[in-house]
Amino acid sequence: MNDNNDKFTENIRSVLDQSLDDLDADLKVKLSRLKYRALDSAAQKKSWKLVWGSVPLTAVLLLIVLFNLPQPRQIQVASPDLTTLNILTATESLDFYAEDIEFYEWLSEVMENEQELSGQRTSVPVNPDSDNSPGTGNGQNTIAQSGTDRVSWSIRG
Amino acid sequence: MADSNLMEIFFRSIERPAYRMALFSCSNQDDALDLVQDAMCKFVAKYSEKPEAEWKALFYKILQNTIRDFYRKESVRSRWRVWLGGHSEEDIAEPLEQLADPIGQTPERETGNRQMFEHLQQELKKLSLKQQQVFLLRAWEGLSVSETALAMNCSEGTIKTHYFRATERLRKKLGEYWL
Repeated sequence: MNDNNDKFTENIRSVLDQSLDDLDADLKVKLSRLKYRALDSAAQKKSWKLVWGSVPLTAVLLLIVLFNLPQPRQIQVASPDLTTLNILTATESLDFYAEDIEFYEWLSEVMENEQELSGQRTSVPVNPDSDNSPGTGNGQNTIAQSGTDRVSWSIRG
Repeated sequence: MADSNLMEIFFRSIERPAYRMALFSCSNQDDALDLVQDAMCKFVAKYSEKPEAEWKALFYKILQNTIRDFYRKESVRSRWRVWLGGHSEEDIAEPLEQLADPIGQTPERETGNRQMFEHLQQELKKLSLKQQQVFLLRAWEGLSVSETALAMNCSEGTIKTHYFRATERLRKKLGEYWL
């Protein structure tokens, strides 16, 4: 039985092998092309894998370089004085200051001079009802008052 | 990636049997060529790193999966054809029977074994797909039971049963000419 089976299987195998030799020549060429196409597709995939695989590596290298670069010196930013802050945070339009900036500069100089002379901390605005005795900076007060009036006029205008 | 020369030699050794097995299952030259190409591409992409000794079983595993997918798609297409075109039930009974027999168009009719081969082919096509493929893998490609089980994605017991039934059936049909 086993011998018969072996013989039977052997016969089938030889017929099948023979059928391969009898394949059409055109078909053999096509099969050969399939093989090379499959091998080429694998090579292409491999090259794409290399490209995509190098992306994270490049990113890591870039990060390392960026973190190891010498840090530029911190630029010292001067703290803004109160006057500038007041101007910047004011609700009025900045055009208001641009119109007569020289006047305001003169006015601040006048106020500073008046402060120095009077030795008072809160001398602006100057009260017009204060005493006019000589030696108490009356002249400067008058100048300061006229300056304040001009400011009020400018704001109203 | 394995040496491409080794892979080429391997493909050269199996391309024709693989084509023949695919042709037995789908009965159309172009479909069979497509199945073999798909299997080769998938094999190179997935299993080229595996040891060379395992290549044959793994390649046939991919080919069997590709043939199974082809069958599924073909049966779905047949159903759609029936629903949309109103064909009879006989048309969808078996996709294999609907396809033209390509053997009549090949130079195989010139060979001395033509009659025997055609007879064998007819009987192989009458087997179920699993029995047919198990028989071809075991008897023709010489895979062991375990290798065939790996290729067919089923247990060794199932392989033994399919092989036994296929051999018995073929012996009954062909025995008087072949023994």
